Amino acid sequence: MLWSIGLNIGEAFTEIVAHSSEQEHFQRWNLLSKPLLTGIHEFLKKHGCLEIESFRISTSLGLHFKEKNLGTPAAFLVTRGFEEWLTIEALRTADWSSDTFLPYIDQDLVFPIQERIAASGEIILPLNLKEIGPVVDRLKLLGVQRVVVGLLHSPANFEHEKILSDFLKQEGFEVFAGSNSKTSDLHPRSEDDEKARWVSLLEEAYLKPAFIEYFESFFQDPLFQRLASEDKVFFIDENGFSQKWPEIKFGQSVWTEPRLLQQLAGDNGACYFGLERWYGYFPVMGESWSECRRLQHTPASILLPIQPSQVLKENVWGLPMSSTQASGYLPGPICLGRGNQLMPVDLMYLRGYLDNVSGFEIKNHKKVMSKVVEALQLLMPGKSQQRHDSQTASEEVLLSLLQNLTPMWKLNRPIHFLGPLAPAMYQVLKNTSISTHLQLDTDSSFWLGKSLIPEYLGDLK
Amino acid sequence: MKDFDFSKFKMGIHNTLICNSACSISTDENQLLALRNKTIVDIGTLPQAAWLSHQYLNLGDGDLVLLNDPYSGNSHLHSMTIVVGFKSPLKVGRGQKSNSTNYLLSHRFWFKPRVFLTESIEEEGVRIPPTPLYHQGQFNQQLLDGVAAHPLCPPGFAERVQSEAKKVQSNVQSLGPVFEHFDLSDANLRAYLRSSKKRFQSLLEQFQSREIQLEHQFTDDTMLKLRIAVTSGCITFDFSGTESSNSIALTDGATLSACLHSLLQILPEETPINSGLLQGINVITPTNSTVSAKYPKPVFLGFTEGVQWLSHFVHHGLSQLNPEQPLSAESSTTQGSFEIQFQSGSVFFENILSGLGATQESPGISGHTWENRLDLNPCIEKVEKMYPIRYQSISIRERSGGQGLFGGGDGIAKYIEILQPSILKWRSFEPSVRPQGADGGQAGAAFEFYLVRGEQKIPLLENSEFKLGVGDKIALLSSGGGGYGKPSSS
Repeated sequence: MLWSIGLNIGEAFTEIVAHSSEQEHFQRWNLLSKPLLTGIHEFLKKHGCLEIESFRISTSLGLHFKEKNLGTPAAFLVTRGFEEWLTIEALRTADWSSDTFLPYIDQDLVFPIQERIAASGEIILPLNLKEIGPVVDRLKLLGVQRVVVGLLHSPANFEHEKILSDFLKQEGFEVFAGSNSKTSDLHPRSEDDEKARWVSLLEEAYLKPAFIEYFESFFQDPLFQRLASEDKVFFIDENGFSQKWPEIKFGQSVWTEPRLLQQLAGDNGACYFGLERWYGYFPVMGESWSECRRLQHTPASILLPIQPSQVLKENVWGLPMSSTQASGYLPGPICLGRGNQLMPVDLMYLRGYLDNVSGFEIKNHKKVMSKVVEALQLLMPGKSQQRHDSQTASEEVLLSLLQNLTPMWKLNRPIHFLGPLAPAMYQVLKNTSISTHLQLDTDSSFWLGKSLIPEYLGDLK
Repeated sequence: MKDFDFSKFKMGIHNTLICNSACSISTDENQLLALRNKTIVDIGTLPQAAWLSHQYLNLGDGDLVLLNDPYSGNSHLHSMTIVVGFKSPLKVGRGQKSNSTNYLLSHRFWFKPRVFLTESIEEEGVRIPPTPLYHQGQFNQQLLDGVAAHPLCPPGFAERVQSEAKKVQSNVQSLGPVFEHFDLSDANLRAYLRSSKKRFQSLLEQFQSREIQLEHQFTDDTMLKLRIAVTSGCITFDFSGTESSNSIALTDGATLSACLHSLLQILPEETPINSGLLQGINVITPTNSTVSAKYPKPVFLGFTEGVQWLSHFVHHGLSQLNPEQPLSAESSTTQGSFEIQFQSGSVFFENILSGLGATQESPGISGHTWENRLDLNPCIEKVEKMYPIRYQSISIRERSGGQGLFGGGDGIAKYIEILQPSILKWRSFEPSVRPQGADGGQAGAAFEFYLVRGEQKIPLLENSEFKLGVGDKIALLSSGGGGYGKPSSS
């Protein structure tokens, strides 16, 4: 029997789907309890998936690496006069509440290149490779291995970028440049948009080492080596492209999860509740909701204003609100033993909503619970000690936070709830007036992993 | 009656409004419920646009009105406001007339601005007083066609208005659930506004002094006078004695915006802007003065740079009323708006952001503004394809921020080469003024705008226009922000 496998790797949970003409199998597990490769092999063995036709992988790890500054900035060689252009744009548009700020640019590794091409493609100032020598010497002195090349109007005339890239490759550098491939490989809309093009390349160069390290065991695994040699392993990126393993542009996977969510939602809305991130797709909200970032083009899904690992604080009304701090799995909620500040996931834990979430196991339950209660009492000293017990208070805070999403959820269309925490979230809301608009998709047909199976790829093909 | 949760209501409304760039919701009795602004001017003018439109045209449920007249509550002529009347879903079927309206939503959007050197608003662009756009199910195509035929009508006007009208209608739909969810009865509404008023009054108690007087002399020698007085539960901004200036013209709505904006700077972040708060604010403006200009004074410069300047001026006064409130160093209000008109008829418009002043807690940010985002700065490659210009460089203007314990943010430096004969026009308000530092911090560098023609360097600081030839280069160097605190000796 021939199997198609879909694997969606999150920071905490991984889900795998095996599909054949006769059967389908699904599994989701917490990576803390079982390593990724072990889980995959166990799953394949259990269901007898011996003959694999295609193995498709998606992941949200890119966003995690970026948010937590786990990548390594590359050198950036850019047309002289525009060394600070991306930084200026980031300063102009930055959301100052965000912790991450262009982690992929190290201004000390930005080098101007004397050359200029006009919008028409005409060469105004020719590139002189002799002038590149000192730059190369400096890069070698600094131990730089990866170099991004960003020259203005390279889509109109690739000549300079190609000459420079070839030269740098000969000097032993790994080069990331738009002229290495068709512009459409970067992003369909990156032509005539140097910002999107350069950011895509910088992001790719920044994230690649972290991805290589993460997938090191994959590269050495005999199964994946065999499948890769037979061109059967694919990496699905945010543009919907299937990239062949192991030649992958990892940087373009940053927004793959919301892209898959959008595909699953179709004409309806959808929310994905992972342990590390909550996404939403609301088709009737219009275009203005689609821009997650301005430097790059992003899918129409958005990160919800409430995130599972946002630190809670008090607003001017004396009520809890979520800050934009610490979104993601690290440092993470108290209940996972990863932090000391109260987060929405802690409230769900305290209230018992996470008891039945598969793979969510808490060691030292009693100790962790008292730590969470303590943090809640610090946040709401009056409410959690005098008027309410901690469980009622946590419910109140949780509902108050989720109230922020009311307008999005009441759109006269069903909103599908997906992801490992979806059943818990649905339980939180089922007794509220919002619940009539929500549809809990516990069955596997709404797993992100399933959207990777060729039969369901739809628009992603 | 179910307990009404003000915090949740505010959040619910606010999150619904997030999908708009700038909008307000008020009742048909001119009670402002919520507002989301994009520029300073929106704060005072969005509710005004809604109220005046309703007064003029008595909006029914679903009626849409279009306006861009600054003297009817709009911002400058390159922005447009659509006002829609809608019925609360709570009142449907409760004996209300089917066509009556209960609420007004104002929605503002922007076209690419133009720079005109003119003495009359009529020459700044096409002026649209509140005019029905959609009435009793009929779309007013004649209005769109008529405006589109005007020589100063912005390109793509009709298509954009239609698209924004659809957006507004969709937003009204998404508000329905919020109103339903919060059971927005009249009693709850009054309680919400009362609560906001009470909260604002308690916040006013932080001011240690009760009154302060300020004066400023513009470069054209006219005077601006301001008395800020805090009485029980009310703050008054009295501009009596202020003269009419040739530099800038602000309407009453714009002046209210500047006062309110500076007040909000020192209030907690979550303070809602609604009628409860507005009841505690009194702004007195002498008719025909620079802070209460009347038709036909042109307003573009006043509504872009003047209002920012006034907001900083008021903020300075408020900080003196409350010495415990740390005074931030100044940021430049000059945007350096300019346009280059080519023989083909195409017009390139640009402005430039300055560095922010430092605060007691942190350095200023380079090339950033909190107050006015026109979302310009498109891609270099796109601009160079569309217009016969070539950027020579765009960089951070080094050391332009004032020194201090915390340094002011640096300005931006742009150099642009002209590839076809063209006409340059620019306007800026007091560009040579340096943003001052605070608490011993030094001033930031002043704005610089000049032309390089061969060996010549021609300063372009006065508002004017200039013929450009092929090979001319224009340089814009925006101001740095002021520094905060004495620089360390090291």
